[in-house]
Amino acid sequence: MYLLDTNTVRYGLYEPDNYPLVVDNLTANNHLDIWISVITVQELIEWRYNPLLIASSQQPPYVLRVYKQFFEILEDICDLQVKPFDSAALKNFSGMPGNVGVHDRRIAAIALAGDLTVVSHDDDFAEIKKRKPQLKLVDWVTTPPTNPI
Amino acid sequence: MSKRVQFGALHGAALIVFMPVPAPEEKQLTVTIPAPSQASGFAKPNPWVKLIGKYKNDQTWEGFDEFLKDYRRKIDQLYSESETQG
Repeated sequence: MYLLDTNTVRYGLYEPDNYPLVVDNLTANNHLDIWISVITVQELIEWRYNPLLIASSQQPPYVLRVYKQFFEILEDICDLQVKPFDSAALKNFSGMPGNVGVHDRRIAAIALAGDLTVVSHDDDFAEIKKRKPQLKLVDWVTTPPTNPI
Repeated sequence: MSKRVQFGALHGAALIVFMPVPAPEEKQLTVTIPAPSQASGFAKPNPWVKLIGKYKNDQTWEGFDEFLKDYRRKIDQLYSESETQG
């Protein structure tokens, strides 16, 4: 089973033409094996929530657009499988390298707690793996699907 | 394959011509058997396929990279501040 980091989600959704192997993996693997973390959910919601706080977004037609985008991201997230950051993840969080961002460390901890493979193009996860060798990593930007349905 | 009878004339003599007319195109019935992990209940379509089609080159995603870097920087700062306070 796979745990996507936020950038992998963004590559597959926004720039599928530039990241064909990400798309191949998203569509060829059983979608029930593909998870995102609550950390990615936090970032996606924040992305669409931020514009609601800007003064220029308070009047029509902008107010309609920003609420539509906020509503849509909530709908999209409801369609996906989400792993929590729970006490098991927190246990795995300790001992992570401090030079790596907190969110990457939390995503890695969630993966370790659930025995999931982190899907990322980010070198920071390789850095985490040096300290947590049991962390499983794959980069769908460069790796074609190996376990298609 | 159905056949239709047509009547025509050739040099004054009655001619019966049998012309085969293709039958309407047969429709193929496809049955999808869900994978074992989907076997319980109704098989749900792959939501990623829908989202890939929905957001492809969507301009509202422009600036997401910068947002993410900035947001993660803020979270890192909050985390280090909490470590200092804790």
